[in-house]
Parts: sequence; structure tokens; C-alpha cells
Amino acid sequence: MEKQLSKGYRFFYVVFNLAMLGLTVFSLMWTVIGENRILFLFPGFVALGLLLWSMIKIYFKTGVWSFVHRKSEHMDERELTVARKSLQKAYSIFAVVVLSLIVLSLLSITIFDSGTFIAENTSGLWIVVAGLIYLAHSLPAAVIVLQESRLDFK
Amino acid sequence: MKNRKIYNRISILRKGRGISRKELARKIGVNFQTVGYLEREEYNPSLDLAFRISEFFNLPIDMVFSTKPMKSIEKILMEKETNKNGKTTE
Repeated sequence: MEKQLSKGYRFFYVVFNLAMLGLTVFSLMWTVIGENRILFLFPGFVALGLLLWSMIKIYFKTGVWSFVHRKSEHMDERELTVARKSLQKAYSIFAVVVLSLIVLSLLSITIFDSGTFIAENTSGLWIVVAGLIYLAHSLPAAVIVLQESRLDFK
Repeated sequence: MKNRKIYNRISILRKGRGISRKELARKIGVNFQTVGYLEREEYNPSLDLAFRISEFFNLPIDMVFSTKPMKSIEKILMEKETNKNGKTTE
């Protein structure tokens, strides 16, 4: 029987992965749109490396990533229940994150009059979009890693 | 609504037949991890799966699953035997 990862270990890697995602998006966005590009480039790539490392460690090696991306025809009834629950939670969290980003953007446009700045730097927004795509794919896996008593997905 | 815990004898029956979790999983059409969850009583099977399991072991469903903690089959047989002997001596 495979050794199970402790809850603390799992929590650390999930939080670390999300923190690295935030740092990667922030750094690479400012690399693209900021004035002092080189300042953010190095931390951006370091964060990206750490993001990929933690992703392999907690999602790939445990088999959770392939599980949440498996077709439902290849799942049995217990696995379908686990997948449904994780997708339901991930959907709620993702909706809150996206709506918060929209509200923050609207507030920054209204309060700081940043509309022109955003319009002139749309290339930076693509980094945010890439980050959101990763978040949408990794959230169901994160929910499973944090909530399931055992990680038997290989 | 919280589901009741369903107890079962899958582990004992499987070991008795000398088959692996993977083999049983293949026969009843689930992934082998699910057999582990069933044996540890961490997952309540659907009615369809419960029937597939009991049909595989060729036993009535109430011999495999129960809502109360289950005695081992040997214990039940021994109790039956004791009762029988008790009645004959009377």
C-alpha cells in the first residue's frame, strides 16, 4: 500500500502552488507592461519554475491531475462523485476569484482613473488570462488534494 | 442528508476466494481503488454495484451488506451449530 501524504504536507504544497501562481502572474505582467522590465523578469521565471515544480510534486505525482482531467466514461461511480464534488467547489471558488478581479478592475478604473493605462497595456492582461486558465484547471485538483482522506489516484 | 454507514464482508469474501483487489475490480466494473474504499467501508455503493458484488460472490445481498456491524460468517455458522446442538440435547 502506498504511503499517504499528510494533510499538512498537502496544504503546504497547494498554498505554495497558488502563491507561486500569483507571484508569476504579477511578475511577468510587470515584465510585459512595466518600465523596469528586467527587475521583474528574474523573479517571474523563478516563480514560474517553482510553480511547475510544486505542480509536479502535488498534482502530477499523486495522479490527481490526470484524475480530474479523465473522461467521465472512464470513471466508476465513486470517482464520479469525487470529481463532481471537487468541480462544484472549484467552480464556486473560481467564480469568486473572477468576479473579484472584475470588481477590482472596475474600482481601479473608477477611483484611480486607470482605464487608459489598462487599455494601453492589454498585453499584460494575457498573462492574467493564462494564470486564470491554469487556476481553472488546477482548482478541482487542489480541492481533491485538500479534502480527500486518501490520494489513491494512480 | 448524511448517509448511513453500510457495513460489508467484501474483504473477507475476496480473501476467501483468493483473488486480488484488481481482479475483483475488473469483475465488478470499478477501479481497484474503489474496492479498497468499499473494503474499508469508506464508500457506500449504489444498489446496482451492491447487487453486482453479491452476484459475483453468489450470495444474497444481505449476506454481503448490512446497516449494522457484521459478524464474520464463521461466527454465524458456529452460533447456528451451537443452537442446533443445544436444541438436540434438549
